[in-house]
Amino acid sequence: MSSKMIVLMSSDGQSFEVEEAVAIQSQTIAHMVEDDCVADGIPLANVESKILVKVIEYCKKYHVDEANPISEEDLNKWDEKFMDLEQSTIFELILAANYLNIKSLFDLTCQTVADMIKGKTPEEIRSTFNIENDFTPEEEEAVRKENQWAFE
Amino acid sequence: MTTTMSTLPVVLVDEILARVPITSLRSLRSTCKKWEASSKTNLVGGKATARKSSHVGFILIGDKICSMKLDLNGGDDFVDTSVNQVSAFDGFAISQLFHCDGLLFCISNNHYSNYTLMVCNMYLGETRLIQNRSLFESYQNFCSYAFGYDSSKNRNHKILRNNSVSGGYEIYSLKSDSWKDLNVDLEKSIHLWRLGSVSLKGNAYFRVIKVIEEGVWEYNLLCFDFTRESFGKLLSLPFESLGDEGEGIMVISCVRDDHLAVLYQRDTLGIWISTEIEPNKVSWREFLQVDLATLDGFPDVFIAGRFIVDEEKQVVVVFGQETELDLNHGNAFIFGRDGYFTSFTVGDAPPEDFTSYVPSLVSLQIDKTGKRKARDD
Repeated sequence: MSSKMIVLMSSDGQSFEVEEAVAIQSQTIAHMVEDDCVADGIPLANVESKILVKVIEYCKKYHVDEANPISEEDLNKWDEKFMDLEQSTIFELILAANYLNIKSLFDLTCQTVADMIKGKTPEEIRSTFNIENDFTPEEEEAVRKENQWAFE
Repeated sequence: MTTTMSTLPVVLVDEILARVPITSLRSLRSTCKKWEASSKTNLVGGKATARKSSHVGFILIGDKICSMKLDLNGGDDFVDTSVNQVSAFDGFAISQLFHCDGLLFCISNNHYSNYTLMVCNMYLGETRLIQNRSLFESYQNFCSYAFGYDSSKNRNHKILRNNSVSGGYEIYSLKSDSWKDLNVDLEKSIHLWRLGSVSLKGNAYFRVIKVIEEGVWEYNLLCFDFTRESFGKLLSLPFESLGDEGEGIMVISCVRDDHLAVLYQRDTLGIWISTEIEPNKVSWREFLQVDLATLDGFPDVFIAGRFIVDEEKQVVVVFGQETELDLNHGNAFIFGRDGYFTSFTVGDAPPEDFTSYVPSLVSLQIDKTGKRKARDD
């Protein structure tokens, strides 16, 4: 069975052929398909090949139908393995999912980072993400006091 | 250039922080100034998916407001609790506590029976003291209160009070920071229960007693509609309480933010959840029935107070009320199906007025023009 293919071009000049049905999980691409401007391929100036490969991998997995049936539990397990990435890659995936408007990938990537924040002390959070502490000790103590009520 | 948390656009950092649970708020705000500022305009936990049964709320232990976090895990240590007195209320003796739309409304006793009404948004760190309406309001603590909001676009939050001395009703509007008398009345046979009204979708639900004839009465439910500013019709309950004259205990609670739950304890303890709930209409489904007498090792004297329904784990957490025998110091029980139960303690005194808490960005500040700041949507 032949399915319509479209070509996605990364910022660093690589081309990827993808089934249209898979690619339109990206609302951005879906709109371009509707507007019929995909004949020469779609240039994605904001997404480099290393990240585009991962995005396409995600979209292929999530293109669930009779030919590719998969349970939610299995998808969740797959998500975990898929997100076992370097921090910078995760952030780049967030940017790509946002730019390409793929809601489920955006939720997954943001939630992954949120889970890295949950349960950590401020020092641990700063260390994990290389964030500078711009509070003076007095300011930090004041913030802690103000939020003393907050369920920890 | 590699992307880091610090180079990510603010709007995307906000999306991440919205998915961090509210229980990490203090750490998150203490991390850096950017995150602290962001959390004041974007709700932390607003998009968090609840992975395990974690309930957060506020309770009164004695006359102190405490924050409480309850984690219902599977396994041996079924419940993990964390209870902390809220220092912002040090110096106040609180007698009643209500929650609605991320705001806490409490009645406190300062000195010499001088009662104060306060509304707080803990998340934004804002407090509004409500002006006394007249010079001598020492009866404030003996009134019935309800807290809610109307259906207007900016949600006008209001407090209803039934003046136990004059018998009349009055309503306070947060937006205009003023009281007005309300011309509503209940039939003579209907009596509002003083304590424990619950706020749901902006309206308030009261336990009421309907006197059928002398010495014979039954429980009912009544809604105060804050949009219409009037009471609805008497709402029926899924249990028979006619003639029990106070032997049966009835408690109401919210389930998530869209349904009501009712507990009735007499010979057995039953919990029902609404399938439909409006000011003039309610229908119920049974959630749990427990025959306390058949539970091995369950105390002889137990009076149910506030409760939390956990639909995912199919259990209910019930806090015991204070009794004369004082056997229930701070005991709480978890009841499940098939006779399952376990107990745990919460503080030195029976916790009262448990309200679950969902933070909001509702501001209590009044800006220069005298209008309350519009709520960020």
